[in-house]
Amino acid sequence: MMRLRRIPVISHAILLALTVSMLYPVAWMVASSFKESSSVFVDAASLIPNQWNFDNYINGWKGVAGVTFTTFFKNTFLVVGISTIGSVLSSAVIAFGFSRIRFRGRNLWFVCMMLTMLLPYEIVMVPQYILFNQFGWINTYLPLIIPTFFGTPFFVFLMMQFIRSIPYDLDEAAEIDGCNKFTTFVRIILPLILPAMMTCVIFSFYWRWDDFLAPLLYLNKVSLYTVSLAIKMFSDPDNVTDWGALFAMSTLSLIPVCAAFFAFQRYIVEGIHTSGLKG
Amino acid sequence: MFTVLLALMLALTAVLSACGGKSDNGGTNAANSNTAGRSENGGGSNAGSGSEGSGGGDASKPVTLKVLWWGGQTRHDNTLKIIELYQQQNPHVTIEPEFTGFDGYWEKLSAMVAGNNTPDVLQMNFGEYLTQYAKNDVLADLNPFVESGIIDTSKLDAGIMESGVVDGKLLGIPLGMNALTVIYDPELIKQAGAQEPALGWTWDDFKAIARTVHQNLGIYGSPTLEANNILEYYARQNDQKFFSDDGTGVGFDDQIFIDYFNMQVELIKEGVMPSLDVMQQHSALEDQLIVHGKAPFDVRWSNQVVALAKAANRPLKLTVLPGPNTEKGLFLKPAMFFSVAKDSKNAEEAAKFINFFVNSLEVEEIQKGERGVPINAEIREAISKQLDEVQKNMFDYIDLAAANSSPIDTNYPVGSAEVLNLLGTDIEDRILFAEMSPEDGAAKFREQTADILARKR
Amino acid sequence: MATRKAGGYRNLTGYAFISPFLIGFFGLTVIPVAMTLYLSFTDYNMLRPPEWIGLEHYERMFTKDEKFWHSLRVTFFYTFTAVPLRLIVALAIAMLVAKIVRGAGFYRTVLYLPSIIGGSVAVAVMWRQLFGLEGAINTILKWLGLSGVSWLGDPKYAIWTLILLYGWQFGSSMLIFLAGLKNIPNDYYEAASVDGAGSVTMFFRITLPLLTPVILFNVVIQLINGFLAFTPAYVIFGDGRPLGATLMYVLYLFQNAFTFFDMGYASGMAWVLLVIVGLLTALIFKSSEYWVHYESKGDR
Repeated sequence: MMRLRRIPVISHAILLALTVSMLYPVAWMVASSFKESSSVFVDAASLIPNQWNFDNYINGWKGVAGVTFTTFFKNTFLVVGISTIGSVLSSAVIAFGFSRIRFRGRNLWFVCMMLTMLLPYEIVMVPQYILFNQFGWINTYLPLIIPTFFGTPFFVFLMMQFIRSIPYDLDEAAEIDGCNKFTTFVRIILPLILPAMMTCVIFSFYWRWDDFLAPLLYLNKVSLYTVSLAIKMFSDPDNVTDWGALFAMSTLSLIPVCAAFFAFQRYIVEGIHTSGLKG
Repeated sequence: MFTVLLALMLALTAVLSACGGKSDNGGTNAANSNTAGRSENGGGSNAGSGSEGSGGGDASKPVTLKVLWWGGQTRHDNTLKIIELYQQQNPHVTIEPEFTGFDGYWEKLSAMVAGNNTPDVLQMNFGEYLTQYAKNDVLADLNPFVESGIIDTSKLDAGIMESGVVDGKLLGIPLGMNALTVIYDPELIKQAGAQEPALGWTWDDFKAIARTVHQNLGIYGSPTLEANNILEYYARQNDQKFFSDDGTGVGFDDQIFIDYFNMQVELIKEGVMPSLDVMQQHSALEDQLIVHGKAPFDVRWSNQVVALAKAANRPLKLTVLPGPNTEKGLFLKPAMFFSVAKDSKNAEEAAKFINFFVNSLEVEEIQKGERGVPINAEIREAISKQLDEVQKNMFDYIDLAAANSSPIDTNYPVGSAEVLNLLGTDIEDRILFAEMSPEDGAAKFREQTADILARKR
Repeated sequence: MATRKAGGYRNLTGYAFISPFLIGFFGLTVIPVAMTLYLSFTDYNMLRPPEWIGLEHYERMFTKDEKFWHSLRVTFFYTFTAVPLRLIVALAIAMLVAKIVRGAGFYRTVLYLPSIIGGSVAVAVMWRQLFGLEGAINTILKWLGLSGVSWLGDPKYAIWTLILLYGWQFGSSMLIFLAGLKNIPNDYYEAASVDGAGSVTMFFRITLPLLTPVILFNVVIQLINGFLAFTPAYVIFGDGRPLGATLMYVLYLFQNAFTFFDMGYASGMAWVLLVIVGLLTALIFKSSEYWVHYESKGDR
């Protein structure tokens, strides 16, 4: 009894200590966003800024060329939102196929899928650009969104692992009740892998939120730019880099991702406490 | 259920193939500019071929120009204002601006070239970039436009214009000038009781000042000298070049290399220069030793002074690099170019735009030297009256440098980027970390450079 | 009954379910991927059409390029140090967080923050400050009585800044472990404690085995991530300094592609990497038969 009560306290203590040390770098970045650009490096050691300077936020938000971060944030939400839905749903469908149906060539295609993850994007991007150029998709969001509807190997693999931890008896029970594969998928499996799906939603959200190379290549008009791309424009190696604005916008950029995380992480927690056999 | 999926599959394939075959966007094909645009092969023989009269605005067909550049927020805002201005003055021209940060610019540009989507006007860099883009026939020869008067070069610094020439073709118009400079803190030097550097000083003077400052103030006398920037200067002041004329290897004697590095190795041993791992800490411009008051000198490109001075927040001065033979060593370097795509359908209009860019005072009034010191002498003079202290110093320095320099070496062979990478991240590091002697370094550098250049043809 | 057309039915449904993948694969991926393989046999600088040169790139890579081997060594070291670090920390913390009820959401978000920040310029600057000669890390070390280290300048230590960065961003792996932990029915633990099992036994007999599918996932994914690591090395150090201590494989690949204008060589490097990581992954999958436990008893 005593042991049980002490454990949470120790856990809390460790976690708290860890949290603080983990957060220091983030705190530094946030604090720097309130400092004046040119003094960021000069008083790098001090966490608390001498003066709380909101200019960075105001200036930074103005964005570039009359396109403010309002537009950038809107664009990013649009792209990230649609691609997340696309990739998570399609990956779930594909995952089910790979893990629950033993069809000919399954292993071959699984290997193919895994292999596509092994090539760094930087290598595939030029041939892909040429391909998308042929389709006429340059300067649109299509190259960023459409590919996600065909599954993301990372998500497929993750969901496969989760599906495999669900006993097959459930499927059989469903089939006896008259379900076909698709209905089994929708009614039985999908709800059970909700934590995995939510995890994927979170990943998808922040990966695409941070993605900079693809938007760089495919978006020409500034009004289409995403936040990550816009932030890059604050740094200029041979001239004055607006560190303040960079940090300010980076800090702001964190907020939607954190919010999305906070919103969705509940679903991971409220997973399944029964294996479903109890019905 | 799976019929639904099957139908979906077919639908998607249909959609994808419908999207195919669309011609690439941008770049309208105004019939009139085809004549001027296509005849740019080889040297500029045909004066005024196909070009309409000089001056803007009398071509009546609407033209769209794609202009691509890199930069920061300020440059983007400036350039867009300039574009507005140009469009106002030339209503038949519509410009589609595209811009990015420096990071990713080249990846984007090369993808565009690979995809046959090269912008009409693009920002270009001196060195391997220019060489590569030149050798691979991506850029248009602008000589015909100069000859026909569309690009007025009468007030443009002749020396710097040379930097845009590759194999006799003028492939880029410089947008600003840069030169290596020694930035110093006169206060620190005075405090240490050393002599302020002045025109005519030498490396011995430099070492003396550095040592004095170190002894009397306890700080470093100078940072280490980036070989990628300064070794070329050093070679030149000794009457040699960085790359050999035939582009097959190193263009200077081993002794030059050895002397250059020995000087630093010595100073590091004395503690006057910091060891490499200290230098590694400070990579950002605003984080350099001089900003923190930990060294009285900094050596870099004049364009970077503004940021440095702002960060340091105290008066800094500029002077030429140490001699002897400073004038042989120093050179004016283009900060960047504007080039025209070889297969641009609107090359003439593009040339007109570039002409506007470098020859209009109003442009520079917007830019205020953000792309470097203007290459048009008149504009330079007019603008310097409108600048703040730091910028004015930079402009004055360029005048000083211009008077004390010789033409830039333009023989940067294909593969020079790899050579510079070898020098700057491998050989220089090893020597300054005392893992390799300057003698060995010289030999290794020579050997590997020849290998790299041979491989790249 | 179901057995008659079972095979045919299974094939059709199987393919129907993975059709999105197949469409994407054939429509959007296979051509670019095949192109990169082709490019590895050519001299290609992106500015003009590729020229066939056969095995020249591979020959140079394996026999003349010391940087290639060096970057491989750096990457191997990095991966096999950083990945276990991240996974062990992630699992440990996940278990702690799983037990907490109050404030769990808060902890989860906060511990996840570092992952979200990713490899942005802001992170790079911040990390450099942290590990600078007079940065926070050295301050703590000195406070503990140890001497400071030149993290950014000393070739021996530079890679550790990247390894620690990787470990710091354990949030994503932690999340997956959490999801996996939550998937383990409480009844198992209850039943076990009724049988008198202590927490250590429960960990090794219940938690670990039931987590193995997720562990497999994390190991494979992190291994791939480790080998393909690029952005942090690029934004924090830029060019593999000091003395190539941080020259990760993909960084060197990127340099070849975009700085040295040698896309052909870079493509060759990419495929060599693919083979190496592919083999390692295959090995892990093969071994998984021996240590991974699926509740569904394999698949149907």
